[in-house]
Amino acid sequence: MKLFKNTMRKISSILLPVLFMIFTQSVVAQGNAEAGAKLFDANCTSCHNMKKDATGPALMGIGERAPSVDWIKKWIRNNNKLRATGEAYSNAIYKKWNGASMSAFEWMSNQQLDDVVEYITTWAPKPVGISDNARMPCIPAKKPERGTNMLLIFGVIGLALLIIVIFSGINRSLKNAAALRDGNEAKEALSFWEAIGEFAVKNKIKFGLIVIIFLVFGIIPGGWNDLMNIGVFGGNGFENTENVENYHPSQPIEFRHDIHAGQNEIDCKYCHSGTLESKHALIPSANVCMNCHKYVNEKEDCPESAVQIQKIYDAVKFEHGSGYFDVDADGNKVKNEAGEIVYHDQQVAKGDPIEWVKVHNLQDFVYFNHSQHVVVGGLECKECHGPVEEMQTAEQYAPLTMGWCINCHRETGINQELKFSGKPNGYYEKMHDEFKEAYKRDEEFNFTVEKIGGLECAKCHY
Amino acid sequence: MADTKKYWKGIEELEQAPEFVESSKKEFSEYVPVDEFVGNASEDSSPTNRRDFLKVLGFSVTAATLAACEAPVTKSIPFLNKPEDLTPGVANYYSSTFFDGLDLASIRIKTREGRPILIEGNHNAPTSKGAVNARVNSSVLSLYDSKRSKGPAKKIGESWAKNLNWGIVDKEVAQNLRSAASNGGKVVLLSNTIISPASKGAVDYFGAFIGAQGGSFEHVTYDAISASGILDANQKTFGRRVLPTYNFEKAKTIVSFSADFLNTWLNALTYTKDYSSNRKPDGDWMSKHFQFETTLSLSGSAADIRGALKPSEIAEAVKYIYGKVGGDTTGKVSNKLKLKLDKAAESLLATKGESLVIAGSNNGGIQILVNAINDKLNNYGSTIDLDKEVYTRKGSDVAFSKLAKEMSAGEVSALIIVGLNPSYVAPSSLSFDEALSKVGTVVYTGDRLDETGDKADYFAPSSHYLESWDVLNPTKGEYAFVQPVINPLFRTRQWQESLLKWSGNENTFEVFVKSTAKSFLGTEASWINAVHDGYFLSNAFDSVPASVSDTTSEIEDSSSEPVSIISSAISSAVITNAVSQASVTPSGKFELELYVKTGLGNGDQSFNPWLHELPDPISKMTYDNYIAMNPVDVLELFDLEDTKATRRDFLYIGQESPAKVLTVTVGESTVTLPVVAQPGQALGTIGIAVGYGKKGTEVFTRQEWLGDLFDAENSEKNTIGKNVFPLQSQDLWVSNTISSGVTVAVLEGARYPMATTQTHHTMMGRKLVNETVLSTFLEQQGAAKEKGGYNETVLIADSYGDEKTTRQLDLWEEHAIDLGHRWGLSIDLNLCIGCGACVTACHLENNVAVVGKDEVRRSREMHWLRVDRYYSSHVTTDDKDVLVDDLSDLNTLTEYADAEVADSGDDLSVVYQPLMCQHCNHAPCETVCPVAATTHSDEGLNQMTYNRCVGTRYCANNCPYKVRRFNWFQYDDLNIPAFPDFAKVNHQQDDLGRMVLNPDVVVRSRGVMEKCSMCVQRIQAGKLEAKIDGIPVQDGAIQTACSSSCPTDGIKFGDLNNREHAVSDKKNDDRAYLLMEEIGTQPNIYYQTKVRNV
Repeated sequence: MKLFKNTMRKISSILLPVLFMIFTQSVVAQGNAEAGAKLFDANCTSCHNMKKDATGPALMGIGERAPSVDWIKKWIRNNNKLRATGEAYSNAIYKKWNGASMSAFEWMSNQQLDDVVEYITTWAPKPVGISDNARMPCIPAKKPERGTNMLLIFGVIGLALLIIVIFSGINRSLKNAAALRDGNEAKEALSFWEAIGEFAVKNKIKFGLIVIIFLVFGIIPGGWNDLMNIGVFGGNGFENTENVENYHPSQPIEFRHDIHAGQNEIDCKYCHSGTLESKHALIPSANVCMNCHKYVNEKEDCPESAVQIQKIYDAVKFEHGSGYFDVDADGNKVKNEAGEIVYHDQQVAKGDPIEWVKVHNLQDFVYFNHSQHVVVGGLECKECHGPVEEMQTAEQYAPLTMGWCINCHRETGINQELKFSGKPNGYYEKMHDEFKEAYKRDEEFNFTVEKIGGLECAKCHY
Repeated sequence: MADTKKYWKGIEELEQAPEFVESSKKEFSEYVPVDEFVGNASEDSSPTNRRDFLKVLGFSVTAATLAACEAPVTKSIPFLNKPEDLTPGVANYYSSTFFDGLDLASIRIKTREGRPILIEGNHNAPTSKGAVNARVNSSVLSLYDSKRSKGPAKKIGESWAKNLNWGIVDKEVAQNLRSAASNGGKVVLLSNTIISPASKGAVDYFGAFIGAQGGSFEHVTYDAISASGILDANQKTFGRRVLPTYNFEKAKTIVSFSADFLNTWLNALTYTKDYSSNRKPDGDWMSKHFQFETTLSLSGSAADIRGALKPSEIAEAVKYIYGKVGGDTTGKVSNKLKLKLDKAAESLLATKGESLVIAGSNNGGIQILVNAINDKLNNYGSTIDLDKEVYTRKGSDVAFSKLAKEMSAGEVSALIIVGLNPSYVAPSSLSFDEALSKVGTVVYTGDRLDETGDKADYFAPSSHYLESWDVLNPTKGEYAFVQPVINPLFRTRQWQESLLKWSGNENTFEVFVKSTAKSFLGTEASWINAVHDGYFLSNAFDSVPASVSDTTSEIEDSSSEPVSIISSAISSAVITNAVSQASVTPSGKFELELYVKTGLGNGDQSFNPWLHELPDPISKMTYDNYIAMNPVDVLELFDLEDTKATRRDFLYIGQESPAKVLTVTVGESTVTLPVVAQPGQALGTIGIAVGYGKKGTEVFTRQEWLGDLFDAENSEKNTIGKNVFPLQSQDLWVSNTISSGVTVAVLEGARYPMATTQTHHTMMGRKLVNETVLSTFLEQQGAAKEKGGYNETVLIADSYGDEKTTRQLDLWEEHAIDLGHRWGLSIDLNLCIGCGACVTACHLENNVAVVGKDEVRRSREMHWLRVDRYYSSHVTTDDKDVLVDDLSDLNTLTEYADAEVADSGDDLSVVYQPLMCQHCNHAPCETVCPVAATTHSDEGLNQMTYNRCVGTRYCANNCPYKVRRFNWFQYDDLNIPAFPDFAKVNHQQDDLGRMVLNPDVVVRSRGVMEKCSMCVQRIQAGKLEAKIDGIPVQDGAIQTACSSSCPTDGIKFGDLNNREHAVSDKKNDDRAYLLMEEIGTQPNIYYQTKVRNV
């Protein structure tokens, strides 16, 4: 044991400085990928996906494609300026993307730029897990049907009755045999119902109890279940729902959160953009879907997906290959390899909005604000909505009951940092000191939401 | 995101059978035919026997219960293509301007999900300076009036073909106009004041078109509340038919003769803002305000010294003042009035060049005299700015009566009426209706088929101003913009666009406005900026000259050339002429004044239930107009002795005490109205409000509400109140005062139920108002709260005889109010003019239900905020000889009814006190709630949790301030109104009216208690904004509905714990006091003592 420790110490004494050098080198020279990820999430995900072309090109492997890291930085900072210098690669990219220029990010510091570049150049798909394309089922697996447990219960009860009947039969035969042996008259073999009748007459109290037990354990739960079936939780999606938590209604379009948020790692807030500014998270409007689905009309190896995506096109009245065409430098219409004119896609009529079914139904008398919780409180979506990236259809994760809200307000400390800059939030600074002073007798002062009145009625009800 | 799934309980509901619809409107079935199935004799013969009935009943109850169990599936429908600047859940604000010929206000409109839901003042704009009144902020509900016309119409024979296509109406109107013009006929456009260069451009374009066709065109302007007298006087004395800018903020002495400049006189909102800036005793100086008037007005109640006089005495009083300030006239005034007039003259002379004299009369003679007084006082160039011309009134009474004559003579072939309802507002002497019938083609562009609309041939409904484009030029060099905040709800079209269309111009009016505005704005960017700001100031641009009608020639003019610079150029000839024009010889026992009421104004918004339910600031009456008469006169008219008992028993109007009814006859017009004993009304005069009795308002009312005035045969006459515009007299000017030929008779035995709130929620005669005079205030600075001071701290002796403050004697456990925020209000009684803008703003913001006249009578109005009005007769002991007659001491009153039908005379002063939940730190309501539905927040709010409330009403019973309101009925139910009559007045029961509801505030249901929440939704939103920005809440960043709507800034909101917030200083102010401090409730609302400058 001692030998082992010593060896370890020796190895580490050699390895650590080396690792340290490598580590520090990378930080100083190339920025911090983790910080870059945050910046990327906040600023880039609306147009860029790592693996797929979206509004902008897929970024995986950009380190190899682009002329230099410096070029990437210049492009991010202000691609218009870069193109204006006549630089060839940038102009080629610009042309390839039909003259769509990227917004400038002049506000980024050198460090921030380093961080982002570090993140995008070192990014690699996660080796295993839900993001593995091959593992993502094309057709969602059906959830097990409910109701089998009732059959089981009936089966057990039936078996028990059978055993009782058999054993009582044996018992009677034995008793009859004993009576014959003793010279008494054997009892007549009674039918099953006659036996029950005799038992009932003889043991009124016992029989009464048995009947009551049957009623209590048999009819009442059955009745209760039947009551449940009359539709207290009826309607779309409620039929498969034991409790409100996992309410997952069927939607007009079989939208797969596991594919979008899990496999493709699209940030929640890209589609649910209201989260940052509004009380509502907002179900994305069809134009947000079309940002990507203008190009993506089918998932690889999953022809069923085309049917679902077509529903978006139907809603927005979008038609492929019937719109305007491009003209090349000579004034000729641009043709494809087969020599056909390439027409762009277009919206042919006004379209109708998609009628989604609301999953999270908060009562009218509760005021809830997403931006308060996400921007100010700094909560992650999944803290309330659960592992959405694993859900095939959106379902309610949290019960959204008052007790659940209150409990979180009791336990959660106030996030005193600003979401994007990480600086201390000036709103809380003075308040925190005041409260700390007032609660100085508490050994461990925890500045929770409760402390500033997070449990008060008028915080949510007005 | 509404649920689209349909739920129904039976076929009849699904199919909307008429019987079902009828019965669904009733909470309780009127008649249950019990005998039919219970009576033994009839059991066999009855169509339904008892057992069948029970079976069906049992089944349907079960079915209904089960059906009701199903959880609804809620749809959530996003935009197809979300507009970039519209995020559901986030409010957008737009600047616009309100102008209806009476009020002018720069406003900011809050929209949610594309629906305008709130109107507040635009505090950056020079026009009206952010002030709004009840009429302006309630106008958003007028937009959602489902009784507005849905489309154009034309008359066929006697009936209307409604909801036509614009094409049909356009074609026929254009045809008629063209043929009228080509036959050389006269086409007239009759409008109220147009201050828009773009609209003027459209009118000119139209005029040119008519001219080109061979016809003649005239544009006649007339205002319902006419200021023709002032305009004509200015024309005569200065050569310009415009209004000057009155600088109330510079005036140290203000003398007003019947001009209600804080409510309805000219640009009242701007004046209110300016006036209030110098009504603070802690400033450098405080203005001194004299008001001489007939009917107690808002301005009169704000005045330091008020004198009551008959309309005929105004000319005398003005002459008297003119004589006092150096003129050569003398007036015959009573000795009592003389004392006050002398004081006024003395004050005017002492502040020469910094004083202001104004008159509300529409008599040019009086106005010339007033101009002469101001000239003598050197006020021109200081408090009155003639160079900064104001165009908000341009109407000409002379032109209007000339038009009526021409119409009667059949000289007008086509008449287009815009922004005016002449059949409703014209004096009866003009016989306008008869004249209208002689006109070839009449086109009306109002918002519904009203009095004038009914008599028109074509109806081209104009859009609401919130659906319209325009650019206004209210003052020289000042522009205000009107922009639409919602698409037209119905098939309406701006009248300007209609004019353009009929003259062959296919442009929309938006294009027209833009090109007009760009002529002085220049670039597209400045146009966008100007529309964004809502205003534009231009010194370079020479504004559109005021439309000067050539009608002044009819005014006898013998004076010198018009002068542009003021001097003593007002010659004695002009004065003599003016004196003769101004003088009236009264005859008869009573003189009549027709005044403009705070709620309905000129009657344009007669269909707005918020304005009907807003208690009149003075009389606290809702829903009706009435005859205001001095209590002494009333008792005399009914031959009763003037004793305390008769006053209390006879004059009191309450739920079970309806008003008596009088008939007033002026010439050939007669009007029958209830009489209200109004303290402060000049003896020998009666006052009646205009703006009532509009056609169509009968839907708001019902038989029981009209008492003995119900007309069973002529249902159209059962309007709310009666129209008294026809009683106006007309010679050169239309006059709202009638001094001769007024007879008043008692309609024996007739009674009329009135809905008054004046005795509701009264605080049983406790001392609530703190008042002092300026000299005392200045003397006691810093010592006001000591013993003997005007704001003495309440001390109570404990059992040892030691005097302690209520806070020291407190038994309660303290809330942690010193930690974090502590929200509070500071209300300055000195600045409150009682206008009621806060009451309606609270309605808008908090989805307060409208309950109807009958429920108001039962004290069930839902106002979260009320403005209490207290009369008092003692102002100061020093001036006893002047101000106190033979009045009994109000401090010795034992019963509140005494206070309400107070002593008479015409000398009294008024204090207004806005009262909302006081958010007591030691709230009596909280301790008695059995379900803890009302609790205290650490931020100083008294919270009301509706979904926890079970409606015991213990809290309301225990509230010393009586600010809690119980929701008696299902005011919010769209489908099954609990009580059919609510649906008529309550916007919450109307599909369209519900669009005005604030989505951030819950709509309360039946059986819960509600009250002021200190706009907690705004506090929460403001805190969130601060948190996102990462800064502490700034002073003024959060405003309650009442504080942001207060035109005098009398209500301030802020954090009492934050030293940087103004309210935290205000609470320690000399004048600050708590309401009923002695009971130890420790409110978070601080009042500032009223100080009078006498």
